Amino acid sequence: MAKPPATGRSPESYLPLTPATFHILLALVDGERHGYAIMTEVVERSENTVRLGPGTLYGSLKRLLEEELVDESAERRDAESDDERRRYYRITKFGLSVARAEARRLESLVRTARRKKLIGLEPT
Amino acid sequence: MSVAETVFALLLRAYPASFRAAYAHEMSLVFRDMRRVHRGSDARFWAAIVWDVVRSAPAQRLQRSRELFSRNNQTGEGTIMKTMMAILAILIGAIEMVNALVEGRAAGMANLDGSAFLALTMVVVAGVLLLASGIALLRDWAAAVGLSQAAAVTCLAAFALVFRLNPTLSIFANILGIGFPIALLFFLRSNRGRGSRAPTMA
Repeated sequence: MAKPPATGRSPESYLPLTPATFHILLALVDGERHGYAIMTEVVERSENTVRLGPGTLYGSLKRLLEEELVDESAERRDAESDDERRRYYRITKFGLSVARAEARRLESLVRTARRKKLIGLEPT
Repeated sequence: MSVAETVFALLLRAYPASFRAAYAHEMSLVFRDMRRVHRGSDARFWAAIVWDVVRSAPAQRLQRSRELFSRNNQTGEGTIMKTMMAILAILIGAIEMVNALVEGRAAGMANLDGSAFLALTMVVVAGVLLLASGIALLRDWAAAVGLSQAAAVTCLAAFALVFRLNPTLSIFANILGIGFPIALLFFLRSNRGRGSRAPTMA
């Protein structure tokens, strides 16, 4: 199990995550990204239904850094397009545990919704 | 720097200095990228940017106030001053509430005209807010700063109205109704000032 941050809180104590926070953590699961890459990943994955502005994005990143769910890696240029050095962010092991706990919570909710026939039938 | 980037830099002033120091450059880079790939109406683009600032900047400001407040409370001097202000807020809040209710009852609620009724109601509300802010200060609630500011401003507004209706208020009433809220605002402000000289977060 991932080492909890200095606060000693369990992953479950961070739940439920805000949609912005969960989307950011999901974007970082595949590897480290800079701010704009997180933003575009969220827009693409959510099929344009979730859009994070710069203020929401960096406000959430600041909180995630403070809570040790995310940390910063060294600044560097984006290999594809960049003109300036950028700060990259990566998910910590503890951040991964929190994201997993949130995914499990959502999965359980979806299962309940299926059982109550709010959405499609239970997959076999 | 383009005009759009200058405007965005001005919008960033809505965020606290420590947040800007840490993220303004990165946010400007993101803004530049968003601008580069944006297709469609400029008005819609700017509406989204402004809405994002409106949604996120107050939260950052509130968080910064809480950080400064809790940091100042860790010092002995801060704790003594805070406890003193909290006790005074509770006492004055209670006195204001009781006094307003007694005055209202003596005059007969039905006989009060609109202005007098409004003044009495505002004094009661100010008293409740002062009482709540005193408790919040003593218990280190996150809402202590916001509550204290609201209490002080309501108190000043209430006593401005009372003073208009009755310009011959006693010195004691002036101290309670005007002196204390000003002292409370100065206390909150001076706490903020001390905190802002502390090193900012990288």
